[in-house]
Amino acid sequence: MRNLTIGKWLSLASVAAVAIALPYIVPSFFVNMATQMLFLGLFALSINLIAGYAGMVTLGQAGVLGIAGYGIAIAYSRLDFSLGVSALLAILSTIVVAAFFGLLLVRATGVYFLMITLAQGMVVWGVAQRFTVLTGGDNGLRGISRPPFATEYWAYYYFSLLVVAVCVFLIFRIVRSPFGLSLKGIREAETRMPALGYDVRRIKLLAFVVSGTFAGVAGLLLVMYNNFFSPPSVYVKASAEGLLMSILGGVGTITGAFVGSGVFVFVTNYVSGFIERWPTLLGLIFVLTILFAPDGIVGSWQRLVWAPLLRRFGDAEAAELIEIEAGGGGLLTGGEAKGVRPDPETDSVTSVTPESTAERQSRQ
Amino acid sequence: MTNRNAFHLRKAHIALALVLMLVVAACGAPGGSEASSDEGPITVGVIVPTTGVVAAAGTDMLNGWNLYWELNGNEVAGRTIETIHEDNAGEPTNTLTKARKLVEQDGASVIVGTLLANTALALAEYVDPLDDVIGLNPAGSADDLSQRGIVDNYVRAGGWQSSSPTHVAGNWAYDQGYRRIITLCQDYAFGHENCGGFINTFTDRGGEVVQQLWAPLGTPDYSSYLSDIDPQSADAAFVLTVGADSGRFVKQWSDFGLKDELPLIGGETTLDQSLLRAMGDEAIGLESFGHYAEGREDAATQEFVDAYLEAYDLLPSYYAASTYTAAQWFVETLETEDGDMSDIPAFLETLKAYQVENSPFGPMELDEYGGTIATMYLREVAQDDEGRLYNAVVEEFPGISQFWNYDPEAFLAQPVYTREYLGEDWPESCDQFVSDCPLEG
Repeated sequence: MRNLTIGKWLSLASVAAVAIALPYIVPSFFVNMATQMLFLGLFALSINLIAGYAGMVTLGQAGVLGIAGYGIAIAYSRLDFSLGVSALLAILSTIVVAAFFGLLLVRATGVYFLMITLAQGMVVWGVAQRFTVLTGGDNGLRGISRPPFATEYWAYYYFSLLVVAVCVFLIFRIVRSPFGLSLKGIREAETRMPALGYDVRRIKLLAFVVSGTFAGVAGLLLVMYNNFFSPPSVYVKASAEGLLMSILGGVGTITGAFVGSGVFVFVTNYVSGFIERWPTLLGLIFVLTILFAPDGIVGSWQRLVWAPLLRRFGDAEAAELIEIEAGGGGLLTGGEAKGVRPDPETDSVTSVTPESTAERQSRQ
Repeated sequence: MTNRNAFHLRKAHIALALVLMLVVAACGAPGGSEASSDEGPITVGVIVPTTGVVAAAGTDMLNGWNLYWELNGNEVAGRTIETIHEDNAGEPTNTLTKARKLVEQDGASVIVGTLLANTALALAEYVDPLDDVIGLNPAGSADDLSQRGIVDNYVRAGGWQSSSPTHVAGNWAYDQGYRRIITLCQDYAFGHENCGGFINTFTDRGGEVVQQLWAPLGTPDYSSYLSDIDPQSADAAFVLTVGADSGRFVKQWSDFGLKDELPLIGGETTLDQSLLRAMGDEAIGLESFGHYAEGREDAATQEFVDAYLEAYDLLPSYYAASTYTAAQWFVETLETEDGDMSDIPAFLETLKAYQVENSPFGPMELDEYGGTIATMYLREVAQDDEGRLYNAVVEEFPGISQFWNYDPEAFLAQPVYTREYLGEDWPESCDQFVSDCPLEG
């Protein structure tokens, strides 16, 4: 047990070492890719927080990210606030809007939840596109700068690393807190939660606001990285991409979000230089993941490699725990989240569609 | 208990190691930039969309660029020009991704592109802080790139402004005796700027906009807009559509019988050659304003048209001409500088001062703001001997500035054209004109 825990710490330390040494090892192009992976990973993680842990699949998260993105861009480039104040205003407005969106969402479940988030995302996009005086419309907003201490590509990488690391730590604590457990409770059996004395609506609202706040932080990093923000960044496609990243890596896992964003960034930035039909490749990767590894890359790794390994070393308890943890994948596979791998032949192909979530929830 | 203590000790060690690594990291700055040289090959990155909604026009841009090098060779002033093409699928974020790849990974010192205004603005934002990279902007027509948001090293080489042709069109429409106009423009920045240009000059003369319609980009069916138009209520219609919308609009304009009832004044992209290829008889005879006409009879245009026709079996669109002209513009500058690109500010100065005596567009030069001064054309769709549709020149308007006849400073004090500001009530006095003030009194 002790060895394994230390092993976990050691692997964390080696990831941190590689992350810190990265700008010294690889050229700027790859460092920039890593920066993108970090903030897109945080965005995917924010989706993961409500989709993976609480079972509420959203297609409007880019809209929430967009509030922060437009918030900082408008405050900084139009209203001439300082960057720090602009960032603060942006996060505050994200929290307010996420809370408002959340209030409209707390009663909804399954496909209705999905449709409302989709509509909310489209509202943000519509405002961004039409409210030209404020948002620059289709031309977007320019002239947002990076913090003065992080203008260089490598400095911005470290800055993002620090911010994302803090956020990941917070999310790690949140999902392991009683609040995090109650989210899983909602995912597993929403109707039973009130009977146990939980205020489901309040928990859902809080989850949506917390998740939105992290999406907002990701949005700030995105805007300062590109120095540019325009409506496609808040479009439903961006929301779907975030969801795909989180599914690809493994729903209900923290590392999964970053593995997913890593694959996404690698394909869009690097592979796209060699293969013109890279969106097809991305789609193929996604379909294959759902077919053969419905728990995502990290989820499958944990279930198929890590858990058996733990068993072999005689730690059945930890192994079972991991299998249950990885069970967030059941959200998308329609299987019961008890560490039983659903039959890919019958279940998982059709279950990618949002409807299956509704089916699953109506069954409960 | 001891185990647990030992475990915490290890944790502390690891934490200490992490902190140390951070300190080490903070001490030295990684990476180093390569200095641009005055010899060896020059890598040029071309970012145009060859997939996505504007793929057809983007492919024309790539073809036009390649055609120049095929005809003239890629050796300029002792240096080899190497082109790397990247596809941005018409999206701003992809544009940034590709620009970074070209500059950081491939070492490109020149970036050419891109097509849609929002992608051009994203690219401008990327090249702005780079002091060893030059951006050439042959097609990104967002007005503000040479007005309220000028980026010093992103140059309109062979480029244009959205509202330049339509300033001419609005003035011309009044001259035709049209007093009441209906406008139908695409509902995004490019459409706003086109419509704004037209409405501004048309209303200066005393013309009236009786109806404004806005269609979102990608409108699948124009019937709801067209059935809203009463031909008796207006003298003419100004229409600006983009991409596949243009084909649908022109077809339905004819199907609804409006073609015979209401004179149509098209914007440049409504009847661009890249779209005429897919149109039929319904387009013949329609008039539009643009900064390019493949039917221009001058040798500079016709030689380009013939070469393009031979290479790709298509008549060239303005997109093809734009990158072709950008290549010519860049080559002439490089020759003036004897192949030396080591002093970027000096190179930029030469680039901006270059006056194109003749190109497929006609003469072209930049004003002090970096805006294109060029000839605008009134064009009419005609059919050649082989049944191909093309834009024949009806009338030429040479030397059109991005500021039309307005005083640049007064013009720039106004916001860029948007749905909220289309210039109906501006200018208020003749002080805001430098010539030909049409206002009464």
